[in-house]
Amino acid sequence: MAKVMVIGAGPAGLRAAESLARFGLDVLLVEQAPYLGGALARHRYGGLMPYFDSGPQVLKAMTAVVTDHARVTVCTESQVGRVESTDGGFQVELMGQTATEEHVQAVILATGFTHFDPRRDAKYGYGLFPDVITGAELEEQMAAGPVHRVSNGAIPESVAFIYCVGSRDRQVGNTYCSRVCCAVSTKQGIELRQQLPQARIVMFYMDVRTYGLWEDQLYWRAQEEAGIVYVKGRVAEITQHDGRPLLKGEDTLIRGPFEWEFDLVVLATGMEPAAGTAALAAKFGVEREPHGFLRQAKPMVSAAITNRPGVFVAGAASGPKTVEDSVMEGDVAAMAVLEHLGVKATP
Amino acid sequence: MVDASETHLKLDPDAVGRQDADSLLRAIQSDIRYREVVHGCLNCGVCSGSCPSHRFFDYSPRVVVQTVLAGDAEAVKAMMDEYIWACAQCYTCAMRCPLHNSPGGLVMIMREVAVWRGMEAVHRLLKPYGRVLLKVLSIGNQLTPDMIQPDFFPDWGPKIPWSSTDLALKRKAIPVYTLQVTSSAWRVSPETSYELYTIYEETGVFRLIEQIDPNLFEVVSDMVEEVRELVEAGRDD
Ligand SMILES: Cc1cc2nc3c(=O)[nH]c(=O)nc-3n(C[C@H](O)[C@H](O)[C@H](O)COP(=O)(O)OP(=O)(O)OC[C@H]3O[C@@H](n4cnc5c(N)ncnc54)[C@H](O)[C@@H]3O)c2cc1C
Ligand code: SF4
Ligand code: SF4
Ligand code: SF4
Repeated sequence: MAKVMVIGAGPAGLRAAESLARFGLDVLLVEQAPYLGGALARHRYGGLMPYFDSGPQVLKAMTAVVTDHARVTVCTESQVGRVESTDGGFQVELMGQTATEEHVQAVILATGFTHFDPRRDAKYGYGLFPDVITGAELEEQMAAGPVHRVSNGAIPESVAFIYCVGSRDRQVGNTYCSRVCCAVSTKQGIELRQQLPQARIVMFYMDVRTYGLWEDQLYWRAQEEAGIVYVKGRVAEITQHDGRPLLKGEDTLIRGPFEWEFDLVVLATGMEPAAGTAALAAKFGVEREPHGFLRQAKPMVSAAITNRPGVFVAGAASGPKTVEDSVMEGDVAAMAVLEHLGVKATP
Repeated sequence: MVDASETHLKLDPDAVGRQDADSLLRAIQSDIRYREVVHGCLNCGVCSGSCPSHRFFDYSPRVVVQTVLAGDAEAVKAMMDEYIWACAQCYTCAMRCPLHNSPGGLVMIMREVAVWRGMEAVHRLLKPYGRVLLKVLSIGNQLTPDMIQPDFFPDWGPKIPWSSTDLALKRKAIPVYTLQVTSSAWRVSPETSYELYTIYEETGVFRLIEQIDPNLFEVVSDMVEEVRELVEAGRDD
């Protein structure tokens, strides 16, 4: 039977591996981290937008089949070394925990994303002011216990979210929208309201991109049920006053210039191509699009097709994406592999 | 690439005095720097949020960019009268704009056009700078030691009366090559002034000054005549 290598065990890679195994193919699932689940596991997302599913439960369901399935070989803490093309596929060296050499007929790249490091945008004082944290750090706080100010452990009476950090900004080199952060921040605000019934929660946005069905599910709900305030204006800088972050900016609709203190500030950091995507792309001869993500060669035909026959892409490796879309692309990639290998249903 | 035939400034000497709104907007948007300072605008407010003038005056660099982009010539002209002169030219906006715009740079272009067209605002705004203008026009310097007088710089604090005495002596304490002159920042030869006057004449600056400040122009004309006679007499020998 044909053997397929799936690189990256986030939502996209896990789904691709599961589908291929169910269709009877042998799958080598290669993951550099010691755990499965990608960003979901790394940041311990507690609740997932837009349906408020439990992160740990989704994670469990995603990994269960793969870890138990006889046809899936899971190689954690492993990396791709040398790659050679052969007649019927690729000869791939694995390094790390699983040090071996494998011949596979097709490859799915599902290497995902990394968070933008907000130290690269100095105006927000991340790393300098302890009460300025990232959305991923807020997820970790919500999973571990009550949300608190990092500076003194106190429960915050006011929380500000700043949108588009590391996205839509030539100054930091990322000119695209990260697509999930408006909705993720809104979800986090709604969750936060449970913990902080009295707190002032404010979202500073440039545009609120809770597109499609999320409009009322998230954006309206945040206002109508959770009393969250939306202020239009990209925060220009953060300083500190009396030990609290001081936000300076322009409310472009109502207030004009403002200087506003908050107990806690959450930066909605965007998504960047995962470290190592460039190296992996080079090894497999896959082109990248101008923002550095893997290029979908025929997006109107299939989301999974790259410029390289036999190499497919799924999930956030090809651009900012939700869990839902990443999972869907895992299936799309599995389907593309079946088509590539000419697999037919037996009557 | 920039077309080599384009000059740094699109300041047409024959346009001095033209003030219809459309031609002002055209002058701004056809300036060679325009496409570097305005690429588009997300209306995000980072420039104004960063702007010291926005904090204290009725002034927003975002509104300047938006108004120019909207192409509303009358509104742009109205801004050139007072609004844009609140900018401190600190360029914090340019450091932070997510589109790499430079709202401060756009204001600079608008100011240059306002000056070049001799707008009423310029008469008003340049009044306190008569002495500076005279220095720039005569010797190409801006501030010189002999301009430091208590009456002119009340905001410079209690040390200014002391600073304005014994200028020649104090100059000697400066360890750079100023030749101890006090009426200019460094010694300017008549040949240099002579060349400056030729440039001012060719580019229409003198015509502009005549329009904005006829009294100043008269003083300058006498000076120019003197220097030219002096230099030309020297060349004849
Ligand atoms: C703060 C935040 C909150 C979010 N919350 C939500 C939410 O509530 N709902 C939602 O739908 N989406 C959410 N997302 C988006 C979600 O995280 C992504 O859509 C999803 O994780 C993408 O899945 P993926 O499998 O493509 O990539 P990833 O989850 O990034 O997984 C990629 C995997 O590949 C591995 N890998 C990378 N390179 C290599 C290599 N060279 N060799 C081996 N392995 C490698 C990585 O270690 C990782 O395990 C959120 C994103 C952010 C930034
Ligand atoms: S999803 Fe929202 S916060 Fe994220 S980059 Fe796009 S507009 Fe900005
Ligand atoms: S250059 Fe002008 S517009 Fe820009 S921040 Fe400074 S004062 Fe404001
Ligand atoms: S910072 Fe740039 S994009 Fe934002 S409002 Fe100002 S000019 Fe427009």
